[in-house]
Amino acid sequence: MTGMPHSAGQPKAGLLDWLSTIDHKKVAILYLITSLFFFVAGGLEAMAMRTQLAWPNLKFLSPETYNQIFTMHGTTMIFLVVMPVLIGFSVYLVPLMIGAKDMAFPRLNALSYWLFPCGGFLLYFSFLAGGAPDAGWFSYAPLSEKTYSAHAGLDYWALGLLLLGSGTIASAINFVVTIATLRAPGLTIRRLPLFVWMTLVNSVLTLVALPALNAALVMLLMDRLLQAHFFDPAHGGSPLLWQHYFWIFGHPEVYIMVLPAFGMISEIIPVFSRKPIFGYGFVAASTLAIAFLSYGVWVHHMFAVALGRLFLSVFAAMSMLIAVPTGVKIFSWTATMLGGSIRFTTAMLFAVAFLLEFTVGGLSGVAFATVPIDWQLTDTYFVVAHFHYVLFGGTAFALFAGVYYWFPKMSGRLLDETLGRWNFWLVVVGFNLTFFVQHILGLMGMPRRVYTYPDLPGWGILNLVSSFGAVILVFGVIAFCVNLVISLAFGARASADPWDAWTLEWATSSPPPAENFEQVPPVHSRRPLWDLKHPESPDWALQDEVVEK
Amino acid sequence: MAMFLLNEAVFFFMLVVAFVYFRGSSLPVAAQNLSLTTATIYTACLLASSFTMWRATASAVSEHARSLRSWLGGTVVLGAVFLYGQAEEFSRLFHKNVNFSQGSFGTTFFTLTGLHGLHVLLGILLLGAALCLPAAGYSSGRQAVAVRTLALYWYFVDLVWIGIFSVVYLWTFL
Repeated sequence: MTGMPHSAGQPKAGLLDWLSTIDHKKVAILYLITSLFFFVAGGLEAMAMRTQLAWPNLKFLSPETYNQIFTMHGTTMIFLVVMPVLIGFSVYLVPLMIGAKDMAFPRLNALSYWLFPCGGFLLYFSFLAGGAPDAGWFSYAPLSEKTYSAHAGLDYWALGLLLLGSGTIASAINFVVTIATLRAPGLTIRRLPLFVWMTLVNSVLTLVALPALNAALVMLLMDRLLQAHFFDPAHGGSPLLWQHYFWIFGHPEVYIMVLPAFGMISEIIPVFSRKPIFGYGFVAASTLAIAFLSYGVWVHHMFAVALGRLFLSVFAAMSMLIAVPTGVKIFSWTATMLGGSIRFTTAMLFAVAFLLEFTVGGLSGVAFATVPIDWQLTDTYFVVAHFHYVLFGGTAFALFAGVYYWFPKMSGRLLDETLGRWNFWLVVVGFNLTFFVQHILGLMGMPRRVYTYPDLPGWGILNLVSSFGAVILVFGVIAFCVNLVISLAFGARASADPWDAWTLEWATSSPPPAENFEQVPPVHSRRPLWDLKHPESPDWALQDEVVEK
Repeated sequence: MAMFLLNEAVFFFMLVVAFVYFRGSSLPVAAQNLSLTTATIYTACLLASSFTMWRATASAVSEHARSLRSWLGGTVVLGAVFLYGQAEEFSRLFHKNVNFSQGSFGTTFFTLTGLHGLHVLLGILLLGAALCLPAAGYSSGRQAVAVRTLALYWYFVDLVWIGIFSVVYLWTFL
């Protein structure tokens, strides 16, 4: 990191500075780099799986190893990549976007970060301590009980997740307090950049959802280590209780993994369409709707568990309902582009691809809300296709867009656009080849979490296509990493505001000085920098209420 | 602190729900082995500690160092008495072979009350730290902020106990 450009007048940051920093910008970059490291680990696990599955009856991985690999792939990607990278972006951007010097609790912020590599280390240590967890990333009981999983892998899983969850909760507390108390004068809640709003809603969502997971993990540890009987049917426990508790966390969790991505898209599309976002109020309100509704749909992960007609109907209806606010957002983003003057930078390419890919993922998700469809397709590759479309085609694409958009601010250099194009097209082609065919495999009945499959008509060739697509995806990721490294060293210098954007983070140098702003610009509307650059037609002139000084 | 307590509230709520979920099979063991009278006495101590905490906050805000020390000390003592009562109950139950692996009662009771007890212990340690703040050079103003924040935590722990007491003890016997 000593190669990182620094703002004028500051000494180069050494290793000790990076390890002991409480500056939110450095803490955020630590989050991002560590997430990238775990992304590579999770990606290697994925490639191992795709190699094993490329043709029927291969013997690249034993069944036991395969179970560990798919468990670690899921756990890594969710808890060690997507959640931390989104938190990292929020840690970097939220103080800047609200005109603050840092987070409300900078040392808590640093602690939250350090819990992340510690939890990750604990989780991965399991490979050396008798085997990684192998009961899937949601560890259903009674498989997760000591009777069926005697080795310590699941203990590492539970303890690792407890550590990671604590860090996430601490970040959430920090965000709420920061956004509530450190906004610049004039920055009312209704003028918040949508990325900040999404972070705020996400943080409250985290505070109410993560404790459900923590409770379930504690109960699992009690069962495994102290011979309690929460989930152990042989002694009066209930495996169903685990499912309920896990999914009460699990469903809000998937929204936790996507809301900040929605926030990024809400910042990027307007800037590259040269139009303010269409329906700001609708986007903000629909976020609240998603957050509330997300606590009322968890049973749709359990439709195959024979819970009774009433249960099924209620949760099916709620699951269909929750598609509506997300649809509102897709319409808002699309309408923002309509009539705009679109500039297809790499960030914008990824943002537009996000709209298409996430919609596909959303459609396959809403298909599952129809109970009979779910009964046919649950635990098949159709599910795998669905969640990769929303999490990779959705969140990861938004993250790529976010990196291309905010990398100049963080490093003072622009990412190379040619390499960016290679990155984009390789990822798009690779991703869709890998996962689109999995919809078909699922419809044909291929179950998930199997280390191999019979040589049924079409299964082999489709899996081969999927594995081939994964190789292309890898090259796309390599292009991305090469772009990062080369641009850090040799990229064109970025000005404070290379994209002609409108939110406060662009009102300071790239990268910002230690306390972020020499002087925070006045805020009278949602686009303070537009007002500064266009005094003849400021946004606040369009507002109904009187401009307060 | 309020945000942290929101998270903790959900956590304890989930554990209470688990207790209630298994109440059918745990009721007989509960009725046979729990003592409502003893529990009520120790509950009274914990509730009294909230009163002392409240007085401590008032002293901190009005910057009366000596009464702050006394009230904080009183809270620590009452909290410690409560924990002693918990320990005594646990030990009595263990002697009768009612432990974690006993069945649904053992599982849910010890997890719920044990985790609550750990939270009380943490509170007592934090109260101890609060007593050391003057020696650490904290101004009266900063002490007041710390004590007020800690008070929120302490009231919360107390409230959770009222919930647990009602669901575990009162609901078993009344």
